[in-house]
Amino acid sequence: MSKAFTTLAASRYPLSALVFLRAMAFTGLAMTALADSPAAQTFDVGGYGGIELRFFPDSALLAKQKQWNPSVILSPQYKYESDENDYSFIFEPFLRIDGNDSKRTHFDVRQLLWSYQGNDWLVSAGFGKVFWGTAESVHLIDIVNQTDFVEDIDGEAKLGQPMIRFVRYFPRGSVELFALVGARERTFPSQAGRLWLPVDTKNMEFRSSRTRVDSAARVTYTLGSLDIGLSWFHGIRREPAIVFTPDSPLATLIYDEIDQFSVDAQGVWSNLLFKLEAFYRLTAQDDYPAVIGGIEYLLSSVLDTRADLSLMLEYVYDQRRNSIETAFQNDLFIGSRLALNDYATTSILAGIITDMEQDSLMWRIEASRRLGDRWRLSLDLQGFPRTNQGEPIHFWRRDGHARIQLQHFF
Amino acid sequence: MHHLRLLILFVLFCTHALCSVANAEPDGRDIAVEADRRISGFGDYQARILMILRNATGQESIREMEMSVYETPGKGDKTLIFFNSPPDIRGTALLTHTHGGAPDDQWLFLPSVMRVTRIASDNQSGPFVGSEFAYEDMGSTEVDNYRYRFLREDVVDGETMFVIERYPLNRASGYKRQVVWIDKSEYRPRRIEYYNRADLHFKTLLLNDYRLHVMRFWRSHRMLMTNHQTGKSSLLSWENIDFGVGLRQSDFNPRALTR
Repeated sequence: MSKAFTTLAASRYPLSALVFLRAMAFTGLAMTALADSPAAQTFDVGGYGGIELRFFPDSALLAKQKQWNPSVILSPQYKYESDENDYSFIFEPFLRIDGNDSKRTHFDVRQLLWSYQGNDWLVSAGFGKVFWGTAESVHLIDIVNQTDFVEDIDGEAKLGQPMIRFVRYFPRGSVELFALVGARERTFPSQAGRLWLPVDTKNMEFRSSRTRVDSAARVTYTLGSLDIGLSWFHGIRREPAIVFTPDSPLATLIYDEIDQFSVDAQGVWSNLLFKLEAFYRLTAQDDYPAVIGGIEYLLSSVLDTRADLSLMLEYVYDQRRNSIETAFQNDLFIGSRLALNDYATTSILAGIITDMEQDSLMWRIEASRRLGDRWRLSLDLQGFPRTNQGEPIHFWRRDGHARIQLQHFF
Repeated sequence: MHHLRLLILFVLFCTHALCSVANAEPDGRDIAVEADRRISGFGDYQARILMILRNATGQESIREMEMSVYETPGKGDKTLIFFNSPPDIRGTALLTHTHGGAPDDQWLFLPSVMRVTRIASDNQSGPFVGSEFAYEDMGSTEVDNYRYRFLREDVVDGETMFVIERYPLNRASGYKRQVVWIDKSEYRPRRIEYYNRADLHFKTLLLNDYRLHVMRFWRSHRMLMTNHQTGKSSLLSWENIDFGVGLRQSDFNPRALTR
């Protein structure tokens, strides 16, 4: 029984693909039916399709990992909004087919959300995407959605989360309540994929029912040029506990119940932005705080050009005892973003993260620009020049890479 | 010595007072106040805007936006702009809360990550989405943000215009001054010349195709900004403006951008 359960838990897909296709067909039919109805409303088809190629100049730690990694992505988006602007619906499926790693090939429902908006309130149900946070380098408190880690290690790609969300708006802020139905496990590359970590994704410990309802709440308040948020989450952890046992080279992933209280703030003063995120997390293994604080300085119209240059500095501190679980225990981030403010919205972001204690270093450069009206070209470079044994990023010491992506927007 | 100083001050005061009474010349600020009064009291409006960017060789690029404006009486307007095209930025939104005299509060919403971030308010002189309009040109111009001077009256194409000069009080502004032509008949701005910090006239805005809305508010449907230094231009074409839509104040709450 438990074996069947863990096999189900190990499945990457939230629903079987067949049920999914049926849902897509139904939505398509429903939209056609609604399109014929007399009341005016707006339908929108958006999203993108793209191709990606990653090149890893160093040969891998594991023999079966390759240097060239092509993949194809399809992520359309269907939106409906009623004329009165009160009912709305969004459907955003996601599919990646990876040339090397069968675990990087995956399908997800990023959003499948029905919403109704009242005068001062909103209710939504379905698969949703919610972001909490203010920092650039590490998204510390962003816990509602599970991270689609196999997509990118920066933690910005997220899996859809089934939820019921209620928001009440006030003149200066809001109160949000969430019922999060079911918890998802984090995606990891297989041994055939680069940026691999020695975690056992086949036999993870998922200490809960798949249909459990987790809860979260958030209060936001704007005071002049300062936005403050207070949040609470109770449920299955998104960041698994990672435990090495002597009988296996792979670490066991444990998803169990936690409580997380967090605070976030962002403020602006002249051309300085201030950011703060902090949480206190209570888990079965450990209770610990973590905090990230940063500033961003904007040099607009730099050197008499139209370009804007932002300089960023962030510091993250995490007090958990199990240091293998996070790469960011005592780290400094220095970054800069150059936005050319041209029609093509060209931007270049460069940053390094260095561990103050371990003296390790990782860096990243992201550049992108629009081509024509519907295409976007992105180039990312990432390196791990200095890592130490015992740090999670030590497993990536040969995984510095270049990534080129071409997207076509519908 | 003390008495002499007082005497000089007294004489200066009388001269100034007499001059003010004798002078029938309109006050620059009064004109600006009247022009602002004529476009105030609308409550809210929503507009679809087409922005056509043209570079020096005549190549054109188009951006489509939806703008919602909510007037908070006595407090300053709230503006929400959603971008519809180009498709890769569709759904991106820019929210501005203006405060006359104080710097604006601005937030940017990125739909791909559902994130609302604050933007530094000193970016007023930067180009608005790659166009020839600066952020400070886009925001509703609060009367208190400038110091005014009346220049003269002009007749342009048979219409009498007030020509006033205004100096931005915000030090982060990219302009030293602006010269504004306001028509005498309806107090509508028709032409604005922008002078940069080096006091060079480098941009001109022409406001045309004025249409009367809800029998009260004149709105320009065609705003052409030309940059004389680069030869580039940006045209804001207001496709339709709907007044009194019944926008909710909660629509302009930064947290509401994520829905």
